[in-house]
This record gives sequence, C-alpha cells and structure tokens, in this order.
Amino acid sequence: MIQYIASVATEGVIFSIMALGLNVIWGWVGDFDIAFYGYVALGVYMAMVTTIGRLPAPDQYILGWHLPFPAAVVIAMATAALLALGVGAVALRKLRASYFAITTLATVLMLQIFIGNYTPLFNGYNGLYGMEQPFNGVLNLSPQVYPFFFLALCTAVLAAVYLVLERLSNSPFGRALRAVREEERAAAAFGRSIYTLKLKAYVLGAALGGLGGALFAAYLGAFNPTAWSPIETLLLYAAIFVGGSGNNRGVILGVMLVSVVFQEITRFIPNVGGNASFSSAVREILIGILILVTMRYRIQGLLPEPRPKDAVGEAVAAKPYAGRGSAAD
Amino acid sequence: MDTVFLGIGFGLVTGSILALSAVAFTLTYAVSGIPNLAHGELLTYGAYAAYAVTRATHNLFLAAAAAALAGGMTAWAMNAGVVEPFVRARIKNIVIFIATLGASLVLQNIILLIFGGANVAYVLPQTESLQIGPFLWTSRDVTIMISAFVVMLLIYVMLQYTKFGKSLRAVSENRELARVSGIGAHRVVQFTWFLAGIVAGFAGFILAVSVGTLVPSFGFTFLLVTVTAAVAGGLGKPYGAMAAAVVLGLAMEISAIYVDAAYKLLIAFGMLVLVLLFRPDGLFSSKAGGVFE
Amino acid sequence: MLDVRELSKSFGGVKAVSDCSFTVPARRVTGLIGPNGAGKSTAIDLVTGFKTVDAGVVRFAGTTIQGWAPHRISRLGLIRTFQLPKEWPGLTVMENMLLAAPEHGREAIWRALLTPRPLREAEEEDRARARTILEEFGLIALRDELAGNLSGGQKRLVEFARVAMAKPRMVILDEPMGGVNPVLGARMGDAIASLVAADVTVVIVEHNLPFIERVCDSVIVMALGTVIATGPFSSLRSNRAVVDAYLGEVAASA
Repeated sequence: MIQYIASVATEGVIFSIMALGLNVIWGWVGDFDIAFYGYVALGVYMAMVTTIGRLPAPDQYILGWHLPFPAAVVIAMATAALLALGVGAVALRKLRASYFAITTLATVLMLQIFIGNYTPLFNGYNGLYGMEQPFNGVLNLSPQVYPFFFLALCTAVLAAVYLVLERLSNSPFGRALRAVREEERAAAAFGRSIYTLKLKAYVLGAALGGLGGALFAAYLGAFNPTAWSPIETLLLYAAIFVGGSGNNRGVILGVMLVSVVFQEITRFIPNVGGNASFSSAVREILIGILILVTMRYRIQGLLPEPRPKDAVGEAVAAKPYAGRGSAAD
Repeated sequence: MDTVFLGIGFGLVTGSILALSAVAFTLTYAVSGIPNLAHGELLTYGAYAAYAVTRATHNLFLAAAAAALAGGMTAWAMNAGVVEPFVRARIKNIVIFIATLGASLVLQNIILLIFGGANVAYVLPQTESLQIGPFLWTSRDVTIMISAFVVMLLIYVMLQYTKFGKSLRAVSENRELARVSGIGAHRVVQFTWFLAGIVAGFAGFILAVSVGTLVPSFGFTFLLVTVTAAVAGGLGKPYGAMAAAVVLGLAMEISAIYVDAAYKLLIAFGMLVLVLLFRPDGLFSSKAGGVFE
Repeated sequence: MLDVRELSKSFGGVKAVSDCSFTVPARRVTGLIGPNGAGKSTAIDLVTGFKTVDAGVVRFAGTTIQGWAPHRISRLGLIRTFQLPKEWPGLTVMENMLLAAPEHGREAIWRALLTPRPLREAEEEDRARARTILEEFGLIALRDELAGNLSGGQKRLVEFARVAMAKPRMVILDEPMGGVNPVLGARMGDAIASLVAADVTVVIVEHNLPFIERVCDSVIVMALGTVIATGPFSSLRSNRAVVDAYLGEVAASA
C-alpha cells in the first residue's frame, strides 16, 4: 500500500513539473499549445537514449550512450527547448490564436508519426526500455526503499522549479508576458516585442516539459509511441484549468486533484460488459466534462492568478476581475 | 506511369470524402467563428451508426441515412450544448475553441464506452474493378465519388438558391448585423450545424466504407486533414474547401507512391503548416496578412 | 519631428491612404482631423508600424522607420494610444504603469533569476514615479485595482498616465476624447499641456473640433486618404476644400 502511495505521489510530482511548464505557455502568456506532450515525450526518449547504452541487436536507435542521469536531464531539456525554438520561431510569428493551436497539433502528430515509423531514431513503435534507476548504481538501495528516494528526488526538482518560476513570475519578465496575454497591441505600443516574449515563454515551458519527461523516463523505465498522444496534453490542461491558470500553486493543486486523486479514484470503476476500456473511458468522459464546466463557470480556476500589491499597510478593496476569459474578442 | 494514374484515382476518392468533411467544417466555422476540434467525432458517429445499422439490416441506404442523422444530431447537440452557451456567456473565442477539444474527448470516449477500443471491421462485399480511361477504380469508389459529388451539388444549390442559403451567407458575413437585420441568426447557426453534421456524418460513412475498419479515434485522425483542406480553401469558404480538399487528396495519394505510405499524413500536416504560415487566408485568397491586420 | 512622405496603403484594392504627406513640428500640439473614412486611423497605424506600408517614407527624429515593427518604433520614443483604451485588464493599475516605463532591459530572464534584489531596488524609482503620476491623475487609490474593473473614464486616465510614464518624445493620441465627460475633458487638456511642458510632441486625432481648436497649435486635415490642408485652425474656416470635405458635412448635419 505504501509503495502504491509513493508511486502515485511520484507521478503527481512529475506531472506537476510538466504542468508548471505548460502553465508558462498557457497561463502566463496565453498561447494554447497542443504540442506540449511532444516535448515531454522527446524528453523521455532523449533521457533513455543517453543512459541505457546499447540494447541487443534488433532494437535500433540513435546515440545509445551511457551517461549519468543529470547529463541526460540536461540533454532532454535542451532537445525539447531546441524543438520548441524551431516550432515557436515559425508558428508564433504571426499566427492567430487558433491557428497557432492547430499548428502545434499538427506538429505533435507529425512528431508521433515520424518517431513511430522512422525506427533508426527511437526504435519506432517498439519503443525503448531498460532505463536504470537514477543514482541507484551508487546508492544500491533495495527495491523497497528506492521509490522513496526517487520520490524525494522528484520533489526536490519540483521545489526548485517552483522557486525559479515564482521568481520569474514576480519579475518584470513575468509581468511583460502577462501584458502580452492581456492586450497584445498595448504591449507592442509600449515597446514589447510580442514575438520575442512569446518565444521565450514557449522555449522555457518546453524545457520544463523535457525535464518532466526525463524524470518520467526514469519513473516508467520503458516508453513507446502508444504511450502518448495529444490527449495527454489535454489532461495537463484540465489540471491547469481546475487549479488556476497562471498560478503556480494552483497548477500543482490542480495536478494533485485531477491527475492524482481523480485518476486514482476512477481507477476503481469496474469494467462493464467485457469492455477493457470501460473505466478509462468513463474517466476521460468525466475529465472532459470537468474541463467544460470549469471553462464555462470558473475560468480562473480554484486559485486565481495572484495580484501583486503596491499599497503598504493600506487596505484596498479587493474586487475580483471577472473579465478574464470573458468579453468576446 | 500507371502507378501515377492509380495515385490520381485514389486521390480523387480521398479528395471527394475529404471535400465533404472540409465543407462541413468550414460551414460551422463560417457561422460560429470557431474551428471545431470535435469535428472528427461527427465522422466517427456517422461511421459507427452506419456500422450498427449495417449489422442489423444489411441495407446500405439505411446505413447512409443513419450516418447522416447521427452526424446531424451530434453536431446539433455540440452547438446547443457547448458552442452556443459559451458564445452567449461572452467567453473568449480561444476558450470556446479549447472547449471543443474537451467535447471531442467526451464524444470519443462515449464511443469507446459503447463499442470498446478494439478495431471494428466494416467490410462490405467485394465489388468489381472498373477501368475508366487510365484510372482503375472499384465500383464502390465510383459510388463514393458520385455520392460525394451529388452532396456537394446539393450544398451548392442550397447556398446559392435557397432563402436559408442566403441567410447563412449573411450570418457568416456578420453575425451581429444579421441579428439586427431580422435574420434569425440563432436559428440559422443551429440549422447550419445540423446540416454540417449531416454532411460530416455521411462523410464518416463513406470514409468507413473506403477504409474498412473503425476505431474510436477514427474521426480524430481525419480532423487535421480536414482542417488542412478547410484552411487551404480559406476558412469559412465552402467552395474553397471543396477545391482544396481535392488538391490535398491528390497530393497525399500521389505522394504515397513515392514515399512510404505511413508518411502521407506527414505530408498533409506539413502542407497545413505551410499554408498557415504563408497563406493563412487560403490558397485562393489574394490577401497577405500583416501582424495586426 | 515626424516627416511623412507619399504614404500609401490599400486594402483589397481600396485605397485607404494614398500619397499622404505631412510633417509634425517638434514640441507642438498638432491636430489630425477629417471626416469618417478619411484614413486618419490607417495613417497612424502606418506611422506606428501597426499596419505595413505599401509605399512611402516615414521619418521620425531623423530615423527612417517605415517597415519597422511597432515595438521598435515605440522604443524610439514614439508612443501611441488607441480609439478604445487598451489597458491590460487582468493586471493592476500599478502594473499597467510599471509596464509603461521605458526600462525593457529589466525584463531579461537572467536578471530575474540571478539578481532579484537589485532589480527590485531599481524598480522602486519607477514605483515612486508611477505613484506621483497616479496622484496627479487622481488614480492613486485605485493602484491595486485590476485595470479591467475601472470605468471607461478611469481607463482613459490610466491610458494617459501610462503615456506620461513612458517618457515619450512624441505621442499620437487616437480620439482621446471619445466617451469622455466634460470634467474629465478638462483633465485631459491639463494632461496634454503638461506633456507639452515636458517637451513632448503631441498629435491628436479627434472629432471634437472645439477641443482641437482650443488645444492644437496647428491642424492637418485629411479626406479620402490624403492631406487636403494644413495650418492653424483659424485659417481652415476659409479653406474651400476643407469646408467642402469636412466642415460642410458638420454644418449639414448640425
């Protein structure tokens, strides 16, 4: 039981890192990116091909290195960031919001088809396996103890990511990103390059996706193209919407609620009528409804974006601004 | 040389199915201003309805009717249940757009719930091959193309010559204006969705007939190809969508002769990205978009 | 200060602006008027980079700027406003002010990560200046309110306060009096006067002719996409073309 809790908690922590990355793109700067899980998947693959060495003959893939895990993390983040730089440089240049989203959807599907069919890259549809537990070569922890070490490791990474993002969010950089989200023309009229700011946010978010992916690789041990799809991105969005777009704490809360509590509870739905997909179908229907209800009735989420105060020691009437997400544009 | 004609032959079949799907997509965009990411599920619902009816009755005309009806009702529900309430609540377009993706998730999993996740074979009896000029088709292919052509002709007549067609065009020009000038914009929008659903459901049926297997993500995989055709034709422009769909169908199938067939979707998506970047108003538009224009 | 030569722009074959030429003298208030559809809005969109120029030359303070992106033009010190106030609705009034400050270098990611404290200290000066300006505009009590929650008039004032915060060399105000009551109007007049006192060149696009007459040193009149007259407001009453194109329309509708 306690092993099970550790495993679920680790998954929640890793998803939180991914969702925080996606929140930079959606919550801060307001771009709806569907390709995000592609960056996560790329992180998973890169972490694997740089650590698992060479697998026996029929399997083929690039690199096949045997690097220590931290180096793999850096490579995973850099690769995801690089791809995002390429995609963003093209797609963010002058596309309308929905066109950008469609372009990213096309990107992630292209990536999936390419990785699945071009076997020399990541072993195609057979995928990769044999990822070792990070640092356990040195630590030699027993299978009962190691999951707790890995949970602690992931939690430490999440804490670091959270602190970095809080610092950025409260900085002039974070403010400029939100200005782009709120009103692009005014941002341009006051000297902001919308394109550059969006691109920075996009690459930053994707790098965090790569980081989450590298940890996920170590958690899963094996990975193939059937393990990811655009729907995974949507599940991360569900967590962000519910928790609170733009609020780092809200995002973590959302992941814990949607990706952990909700997922685990619905796991106990029995499969009816010999349909092996019954319980997962019910779960995804409920998540879809959760997304629709949240967007319709509480777009700001459970924890709305924090509002910095200038007044020192003065009480200022705080009235929530209902307009975010409303007012047709 | 023969293989090229074979590719063109396949391309025309794919293109005519795609044309129906793209027209339906573009019509809902024209009246609601939202690219509907749950569009693929209209095809899925049409296809599964046809499958269920075929199994029960073995009558393909009934199957086609069931597909159209299922698509139409699903689209009607989508607009009445998701898009219109969001529009009325004056929620940002991008959020409504995301909501359609949420609707897609729900609809796809309802199919998964009912029919399970395994491939469903939708195999109809073999039909004889026909050599028409340089092309080699089965008589089923020819039926598909003719029926698609007839549906497109009906859409054309409806848009050009009926009162509803005129209202539809007025609403797509300007929803607010249509509303104040006494056109029942709400009803026009609702009926357009229903109609687009009928067309998409039928497209799902002929796609299923031509592919032969069904999975719950059947329509979703066809969504992006549809979007590609609709965008290339200029979003909201039905005739543009038809023309672009045929071009795209040909490009995909002819390219499949030269590269691995697995990559033909890659070519379609690559084309989508190029169109979005260089001709965001469609291949047939003369306008070049600026940053804020 | 601003020199526009033979500017042209058409949309789908319709010429919105054609062969439009004018100059704006430094440290003066210049009005840009003309009937609806005269091309005023398009002209300022072209000058500020919000629309791409088909043909023509735009020089600002000696630099040729046509074809530049809006943010680059803004960074030269040419700031514009919009017909409808474009505040950042989900940000507080204070954040709106700080974003208007011409300190883009502070937005580097590495500074946020590595030197947060010096960054905050540097920003204190801006905060102090923002408070002073907000005080002048009577907005100080609202500084932690979200800009989207303000009334229309208050949004106009925030727009002006932001312009003052940006320390511009030149501003183009697009219909600043739209939807503004007389009390607020007087405040706008004061705000423009204090911009001029700070050596800022001002261009005002406006339909409110009495306001133009009171505030502007000279006026540029546009009709059908081109400039038909320039000069002090008083000289225009006797200008046949202007009366035909514009004042006549007003007289007819009065």
